[in-house]
Amino acid sequence: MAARTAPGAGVRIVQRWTSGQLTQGELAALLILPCVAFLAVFAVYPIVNAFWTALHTLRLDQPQLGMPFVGLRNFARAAADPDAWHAMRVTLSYTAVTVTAQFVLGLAIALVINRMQRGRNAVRAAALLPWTMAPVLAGQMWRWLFNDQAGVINDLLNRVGLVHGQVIWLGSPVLAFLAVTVAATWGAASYMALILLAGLTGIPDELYEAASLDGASPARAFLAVTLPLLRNAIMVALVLRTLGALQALDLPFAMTAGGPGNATETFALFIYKNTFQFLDFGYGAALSVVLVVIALGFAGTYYRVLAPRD
Amino acid sequence: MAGRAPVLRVGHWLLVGVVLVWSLAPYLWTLATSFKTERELYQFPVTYWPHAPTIVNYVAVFTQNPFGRFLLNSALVTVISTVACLFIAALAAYAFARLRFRGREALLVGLLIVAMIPLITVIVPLYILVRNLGLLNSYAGLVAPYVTYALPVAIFILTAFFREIPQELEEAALIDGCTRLNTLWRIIAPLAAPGLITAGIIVFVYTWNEFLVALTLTSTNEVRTITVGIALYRGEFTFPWGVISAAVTLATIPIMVLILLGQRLVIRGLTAGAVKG
Repeated sequence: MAARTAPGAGVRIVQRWTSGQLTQGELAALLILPCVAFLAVFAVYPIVNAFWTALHTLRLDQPQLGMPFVGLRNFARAAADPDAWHAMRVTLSYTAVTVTAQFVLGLAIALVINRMQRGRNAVRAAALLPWTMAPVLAGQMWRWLFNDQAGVINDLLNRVGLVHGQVIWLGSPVLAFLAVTVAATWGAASYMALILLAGLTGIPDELYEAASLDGASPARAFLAVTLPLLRNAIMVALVLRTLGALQALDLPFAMTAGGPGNATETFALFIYKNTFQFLDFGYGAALSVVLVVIALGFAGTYYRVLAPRD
Repeated sequence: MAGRAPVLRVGHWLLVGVVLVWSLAPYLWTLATSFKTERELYQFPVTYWPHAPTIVNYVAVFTQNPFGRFLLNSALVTVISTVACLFIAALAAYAFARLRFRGREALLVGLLIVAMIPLITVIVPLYILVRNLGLLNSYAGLVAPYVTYALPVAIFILTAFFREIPQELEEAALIDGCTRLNTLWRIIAPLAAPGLITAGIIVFVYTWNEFLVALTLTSTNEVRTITVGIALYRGEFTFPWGVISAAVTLATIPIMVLILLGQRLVIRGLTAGAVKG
């Protein structure tokens, strides 16, 4: 910024940069300038703007209203809106179910890969793939897997005799919710697994040898050695996945579009609907502020519970 | 450590098999679907190996639909965003790793907040901002937000990598009369190459897969990326699962190749960015 306002100074700074005479502070300012500029314009401004919009009425379908200040009225409206509460319940159950399933599965995958010697890299790469698929494409893919007429899941369930006929997965509220959580678990368990695997690799073998010399069973060694030493990796994985699940939008958008009815309408989808279908920008902004506060609350809680204590 | 008793060893390999099936089966089903004819698609019980394999779906992807255009848009936007993001992040990460400066903590907190903020929260202000800049429905209008929201993870990864480069190397170069700029270019950049590749792959995957921003800030097929193109695709009569499966397969291939080539680096980056950041 300084370079803009004083051209002479700018040239001098560049000269001193190339001849290595800049102070640390000046050099740092130059290096972080592009980063700060992008963050300020495309992140900080929109965040502040969202909080500001939340305090106003702004309806794109009714421009004659202008943008009057309404204080916390949008938040009061959200608190009294049964649809908002429903979406919040969907998001919280979705988060609880998917993060738990991802954690259990991710830990199992990490433990299996950690015991491998031959072929370890190949299996690890395969396990990594689900996470790299775009959630919106994964949603499309799973919609086809759960297809009632010709879906492979119905076919397999029929072959093993668990069901007879064609289950309409995405047509019933409970089954649709279940299907979406299966797809979400598939996508992110692999990410969990890799973070936990990195943690497992860091545990020295001597600790297990010591535990086994002391007569500890494998289960006891797992509880006494593995889990405590994984604490850090577990926290990172849980925080990141919870933040991801709380803002889930792409996957349900592609898989069910929130349906049937609004059975799988997550809070983020509800915000999307209010904003882009009902064009109620003020209300949408207030809802998204609520989402931010909840996300930060979760991150803070995890940190207090699981952070390493020295 | 693999089990000593044969029973344990068999059990272990069975579990490895389960991991592989769980991870790969959905992909394989999509791949099989993409080679089926419309008729075979809706047979029940389903066929696990296409009886009459056909590439008609792949032809349809490129001839009857703008998927080729979507793939090109995705490729351009992703490559430009990744390169720009790496350049900006590398400068900032160098400052974080090597220099003491005022505002360091504030910038770190800012990066953490940007990394945590749900995109749905900022999408409307972002839309209005990009519209006011006259960049709606343009590559630049997508690249700017992508660069911004990928900066935190790129900076965290690169800072971790820069810290591992011994400072003595740089000091020696400076004493030998190398300028700062030269040092950064000749000494640091080559040594940081694995870090740049790691961060690059992760930013690439993030950008290629992004949906909400691309959906909101584009309005015509000339600019739409592949995720939006596939999500908005509707057939005329029935839902064209064969074509969709072909498109999903094609959209997934670039990411798969990248991940398989750079597996070790990606995993190091995921854990470095997550654990140290």
